[in-house]
Amino acid sequence: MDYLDPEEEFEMMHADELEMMNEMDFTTDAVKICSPKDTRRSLKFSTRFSSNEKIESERSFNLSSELNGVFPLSQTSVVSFNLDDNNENEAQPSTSASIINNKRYLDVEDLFGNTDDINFEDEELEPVLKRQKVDPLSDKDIKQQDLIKKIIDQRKKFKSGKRSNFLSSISYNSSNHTQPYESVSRRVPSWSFFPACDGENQRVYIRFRSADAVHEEISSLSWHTKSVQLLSDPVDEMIARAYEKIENNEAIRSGVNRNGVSILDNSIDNTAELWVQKYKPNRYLDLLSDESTNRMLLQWLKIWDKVVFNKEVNKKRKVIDVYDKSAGNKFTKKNQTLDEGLDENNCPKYKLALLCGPPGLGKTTLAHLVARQAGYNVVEMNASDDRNLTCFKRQLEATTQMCSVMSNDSRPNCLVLDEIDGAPVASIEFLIKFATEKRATRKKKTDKKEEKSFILKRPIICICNDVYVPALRNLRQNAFVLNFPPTSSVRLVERLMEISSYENIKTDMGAMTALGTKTNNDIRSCLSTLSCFRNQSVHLSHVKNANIGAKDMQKGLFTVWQEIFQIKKSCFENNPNSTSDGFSSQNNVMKDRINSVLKTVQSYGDYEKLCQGIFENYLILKPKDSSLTNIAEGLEWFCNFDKMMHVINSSQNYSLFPYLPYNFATWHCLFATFTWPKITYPSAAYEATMKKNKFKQIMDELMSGIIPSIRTFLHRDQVLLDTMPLLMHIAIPNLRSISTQLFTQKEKEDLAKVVNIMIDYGLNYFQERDADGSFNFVLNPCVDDAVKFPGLETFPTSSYATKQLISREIELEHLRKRMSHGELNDIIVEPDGLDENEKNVSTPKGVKGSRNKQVTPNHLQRLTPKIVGSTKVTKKKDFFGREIDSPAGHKHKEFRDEIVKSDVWFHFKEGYSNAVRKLVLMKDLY
Amino acid sequence: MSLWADKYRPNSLQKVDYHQDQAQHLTNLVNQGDFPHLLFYGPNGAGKKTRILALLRQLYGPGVERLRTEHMNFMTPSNKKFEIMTVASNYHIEVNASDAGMYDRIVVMELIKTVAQTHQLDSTKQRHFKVILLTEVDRLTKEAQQALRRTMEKYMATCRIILCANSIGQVIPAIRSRCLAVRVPAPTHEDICKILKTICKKEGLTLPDELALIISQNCERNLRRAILMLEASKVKQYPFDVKQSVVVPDWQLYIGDTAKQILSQQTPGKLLEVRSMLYELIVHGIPTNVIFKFLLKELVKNCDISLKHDIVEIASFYEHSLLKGNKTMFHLEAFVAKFMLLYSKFMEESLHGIF
Repeated sequence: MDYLDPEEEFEMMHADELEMMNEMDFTTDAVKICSPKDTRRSLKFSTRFSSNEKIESERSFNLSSELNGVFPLSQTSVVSFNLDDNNENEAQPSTSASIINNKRYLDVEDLFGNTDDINFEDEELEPVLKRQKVDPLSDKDIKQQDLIKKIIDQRKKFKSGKRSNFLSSISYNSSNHTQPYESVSRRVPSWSFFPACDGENQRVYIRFRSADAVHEEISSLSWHTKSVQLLSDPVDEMIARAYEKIENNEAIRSGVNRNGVSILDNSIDNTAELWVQKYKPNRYLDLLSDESTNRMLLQWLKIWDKVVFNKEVNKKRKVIDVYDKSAGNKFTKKNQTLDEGLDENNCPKYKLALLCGPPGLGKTTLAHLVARQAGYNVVEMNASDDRNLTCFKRQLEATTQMCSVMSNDSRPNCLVLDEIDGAPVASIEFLIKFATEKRATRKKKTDKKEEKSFILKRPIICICNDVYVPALRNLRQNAFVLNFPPTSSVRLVERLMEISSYENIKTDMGAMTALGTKTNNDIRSCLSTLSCFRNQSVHLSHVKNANIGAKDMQKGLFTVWQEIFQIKKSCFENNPNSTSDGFSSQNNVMKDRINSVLKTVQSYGDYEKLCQGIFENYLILKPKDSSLTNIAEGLEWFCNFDKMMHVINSSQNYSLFPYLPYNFATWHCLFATFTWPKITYPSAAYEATMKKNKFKQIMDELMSGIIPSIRTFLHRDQVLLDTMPLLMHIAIPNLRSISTQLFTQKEKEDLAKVVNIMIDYGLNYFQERDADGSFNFVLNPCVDDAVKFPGLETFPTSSYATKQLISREIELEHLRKRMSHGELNDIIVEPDGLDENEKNVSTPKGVKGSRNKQVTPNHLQRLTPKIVGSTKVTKKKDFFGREIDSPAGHKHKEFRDEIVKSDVWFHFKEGYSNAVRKLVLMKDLY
Repeated sequence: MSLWADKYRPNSLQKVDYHQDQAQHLTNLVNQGDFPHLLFYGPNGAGKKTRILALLRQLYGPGVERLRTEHMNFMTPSNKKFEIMTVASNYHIEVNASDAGMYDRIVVMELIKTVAQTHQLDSTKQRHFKVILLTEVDRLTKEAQQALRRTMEKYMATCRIILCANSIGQVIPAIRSRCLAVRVPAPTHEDICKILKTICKKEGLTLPDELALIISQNCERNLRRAILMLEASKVKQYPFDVKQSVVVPDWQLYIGDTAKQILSQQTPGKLLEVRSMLYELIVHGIPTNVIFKFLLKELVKNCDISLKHDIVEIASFYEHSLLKGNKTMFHLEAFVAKFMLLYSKFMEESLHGIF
């Protein structure tokens, strides 16, 4: 056997690599044994044992193996073996190399099948090896011969003995190929080697191993081990580390004595699930939520037994009935009666149950647990699922239909719709329809079995946080609503104590109670807060001072007001020595109170509303002392608040916002009492604004009605302050309730003046029907409302008849104004005493154009149709015929208006009764 | 025009009843055919508008008196539409931009620009400028006033702006300096008496001097109110009697009642009652400064001289704080409570002094 030149070596090596790489590319079989781990390890070895080899080649090995590094399942046993190997290597680094060598050697022998000749060569090569010695294992070479022998022996043993399929398969697979394995190499390897020749007289180098290693290896070889070990580190190392850690822990917490077992538990727990999951109740009895609520839901589910399990539940119901009577809950009673009423279908009336309550009370847990308890298979849909209508429909139908199929062999489904308050309205509507409508259609189609299968026969439990979400309005009416009362703090504390003892948290009742109050009896946040104190002892101060776990609870509006107006008694209970201690503790109480008010107000947020509520209530509530000092001071703070709010709103400067809650603290200090405050909702300001707007609208209307030549001199305020209040006094004519024809000149002038004023300011009276059916004339725009104050009835109101008269005159005056554009200054007034036929004939009037305004009453003088003589006489005559009768008069007016508006007018010369005769049809007039 | 206040309004600068010198100055100003921007200011009922209209008539002739109301639509940047009512003749347009509230800037900019940018059709016969009459300038927001100052200079060629305000305290100095300020003081009592008597003479009525004096003392030197009061009194009772009670606006009586309530008792319960009365006043749209003024007047009437100073002080304090705030009720009630506190304290002390 010659030694190769370095150049040759190198060339050979590379040729080899290339060849191998090529082979590996298309024959995965060849690489099967060569796991990435192996190659990595080989890399390690190369660095560890060799100083003068080419690492490059090893790298390429790595690369090639990783390229095809797929592990067929059949070879898991090999993997395990290799890994074991690895572990041992780590543990005993001195022998590792030889162990590997040994193994590889074995492999190689297997691979090469007939290796009798190799054995000979091995013996022959022995001196060469001695000479060549380059590695640190040189001192062991004497042993190597023994080793080889042993190997051979072992091999023979294996050969003769039963072989595993794996090995045979390997030998079969790789018999045709050169094995890319570190134990055997065709080039000069980096490890301690043993040159040999293969069947074709090619040089191979076989890895050396120490005798001890081989020994151990062989003894530990177990081909039947099938367990897959995936630990990255050897077990004993891990144990050693664990002990180290334990020691450290103990050193840290020397004060706490604990036993080793629990410590071990803890260290493992670090990777375990959340406490919320871990300590989730698994039995009905473990439930922490309110007992009666639990029972109610369970009972509701039990009602389904008849339809779902075909099982009579009567007995049980009676028992429950007793319970319920004691509980006094109306819902369950309803259910019971309905259950019996709906025997035909055997379904309870409410097919849906709606659990509602704030988060962390255990609603979901309850639903799941109770459903399981009642023998259902729980199907949950929550906000994380897609809940648009189609998906929801599909899911809902699938669940219920699956029920009908599976109910025979498996547990029936119970659908739990979690977080339903976030679901789209359409989906909820569909759910309601699904639950209720089917029941209605059922009556027709009871006989048909197919139809029956569509009826909702499985319980559906809905869970929500807020029942009063608009989307749930219908659901609320159609479902059995269960309101979750808050968890009783006693039970919560018990459970927390239990858990903390499991978790080795040293704590006491007080701390847990504080924790409960801090989180508002939310089990979930209690546990998550508690998990922050893992491996510590928890005391009251810890809980109180920890700035975690507190929820920003938004309280109701009234609760906040109540908190401001009422001094909590608990403030004093917490510090029992406050009364005796005197000033300093008194200060503390004050501080606590202020802090609590600040917190509540800050978490509520809507300061403006809160402030309004306080403003409208503080005077109603019984004040601390009757003196006004507090009130005056409080009001100063109200002004302050308002100013701040104004600045914030007008300049959008929200940096002032944090200072607003301090106003509430002051009001609390000034107004709070021990008595329970009866608070009303602040509506006065809102009502005032509404009324103000109404009056403003009236004024707008008025302003737009005033004729421009006057309006230009007036502003809104001036109209409101000066003109209108006084106008109400002025525009009241002092008229007797007699016919207009009988008015004196002064009265006529008064009337004309009032009419003109009202026209100037765009006012008029309109007839309106009162609530009791009587007619009344109302000023429009109703300025009198706007300028009138309650308790002050200074300006007189005109009588109905006067208003009517004024209204009529205003109408006429308007007409006259409209006509003044044309030539016709005259108005023909139809007297009411005339017959229909005589309507065609009207009295003429031609002279009075000049004094149009003053003349208005004079129109009425012309009311008599035929009499041409003195009008005054006719007036009287006419008047004697009728008393002033308002409805008649009104009719009269309307009648006249119709005529006046029509296009046809007749002029009669004064003094002539028959000046013009013309045939006019009625239809022409209208 | 049958209300005396409207009927006997002088329509030319020559006919004004008082401040004749000023009227003469204005006539001289206008007779030159051009005038600078003007800023009329003075209390309500002093005759600002009368003088402005008379001035316009002097300038353009009686055509100014043919007025019409127009509704103008504006759109805010946020696409909110609102409407402003204007009174206009062929020669001028009158706008109360403060009607638009917080959008007054848009009104000032848009309206003035559109009006100012259109030239008169026939500049040979007419004046070459139009007049924009802006009322209640002191109620304009600062932004609107800032917007005004540039337009005033920019469109000087085509328009003159006449501003009308109650007080120039709220008008920014930049605008004040751009205008010729004309102060129209309220008429004196004698002026008012004289005018009232003239009106009565024209109406063919006899007015006793005493009654005229009473009216003039009750009208806050507001001529419009004086004439209206005269007319209301006439409707109530004629022939006039010297001891006749003058008709006073309802709100004024109501404020008096409120003051009586405050003085009658100083307890939280009373404060609550007073609050409802104050709400009533606010609801009816009585301006808060008016409420403060009359309330203070009524309260001070019944107070000891030593208290008066303090009360006036707190009234002014709270009126100022009201202007800085938004919720009028807080400040009004704070004033009332403070007054009650002071008053009851004073009463207690004085009672102690007696016994």
